[in-house]
Amino acid sequence: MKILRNFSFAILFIAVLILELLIGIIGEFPEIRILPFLILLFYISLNRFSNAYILAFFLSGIYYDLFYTSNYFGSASAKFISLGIFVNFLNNKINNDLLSEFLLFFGAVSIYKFETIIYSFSINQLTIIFLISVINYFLFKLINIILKRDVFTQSI
Amino acid sequence: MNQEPQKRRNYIIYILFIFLSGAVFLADLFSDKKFSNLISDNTDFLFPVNEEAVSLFDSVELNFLKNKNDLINENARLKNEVIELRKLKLVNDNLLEEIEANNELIKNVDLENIVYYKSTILIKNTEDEYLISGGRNINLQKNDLVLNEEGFVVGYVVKIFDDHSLINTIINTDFSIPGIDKYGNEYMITSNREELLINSIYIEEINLNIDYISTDVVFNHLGKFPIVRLSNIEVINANNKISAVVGIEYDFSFDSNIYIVKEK
Repeated sequence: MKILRNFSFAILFIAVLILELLIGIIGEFPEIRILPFLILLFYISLNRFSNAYILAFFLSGIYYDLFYTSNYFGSASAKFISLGIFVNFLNNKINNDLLSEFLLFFGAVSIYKFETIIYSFSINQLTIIFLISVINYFLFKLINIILKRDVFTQSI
Repeated sequence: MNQEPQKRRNYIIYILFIFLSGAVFLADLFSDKKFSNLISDNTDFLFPVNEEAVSLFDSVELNFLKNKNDLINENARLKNEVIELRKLKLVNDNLLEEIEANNELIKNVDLENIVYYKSTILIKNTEDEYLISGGRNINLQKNDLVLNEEGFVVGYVVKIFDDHSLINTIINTDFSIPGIDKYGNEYMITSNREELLINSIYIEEINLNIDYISTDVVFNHLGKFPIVRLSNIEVINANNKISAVVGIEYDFSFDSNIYIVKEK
């Protein structure tokens, strides 16, 4: 049962990853993208960090390397898992305020787009990453609010 | 009470999986990607994206930035333009027919020994590489050239699947292609995303009046296809080396017409 659950998480991760790539097609500004997969990674790392998701992190990375990049096998997995550890570890160390959380999200985006930063670092690229962080952090907060809403405890 | 050891256990398992990813990475590195190619070749059916799915997403328009005033103004402007447009329609219909005929000609035209396959961009990954339609089904091979509408080389194939391929384009920092000018000087053309960097690797004759740098059969290309135009660009000659920097003006979009060059 546990294995089935873990694999279903992996399928969910892969579905969101595909959705993210398809969303990249839409939009007037190709550089500034909505990243639902990154939001999912961030959400899981922040709120649901556990061993149950490790296969999902690993397999989604393997899947991404297999079909969507020319990278060596396993590099995306390592990136996704590192991102998960980075977010969870720092979240336990820093204050639980909006600015800290945003900076953490900015760090997560930087890890997620680290190829861009390494190979073509410029102020322009940094600005784009900042804008991506702002837009996606807003979406993350929105999703967080929706998922946290407990309808049964609301007074009528 | 139990939280801290559990957290540590989680971290250890995650770190072990990073090592596992590293081991897979090394296996692929030392097998020269044979390992990943073997798996991707046998699991190609897991790639769900096709041209229909992409066109469905592409047709979605984000209109939330438009407000009511914009729409009213736009409506008034459009009413004025309708009369003009009716006149232009007749001309336009003729031109469309001409374009369609030309596209059909370009689509699969045979020039001597060469076939141009029309392809479309399917997906852009997070590293700004593009997946395009066409793969083993049209007998694509690694390093097959990708041209734009004007016939300039804008990329080459790096990974092939059953019905799609991954291409390396002029906006990727690992883009690198050899070229030759009309004097027989050879160059290596690389990219920093915003500019193409041209550096000579072999000089036959120092002459800075270079029009085009193109591909050539000496580099195992199918023929001469222009990579970059240097007509109005400053070309530098220093220590018997010719170099130039050309800004990248070509914009990839999901409506771009791109063509893959194949031998007949």
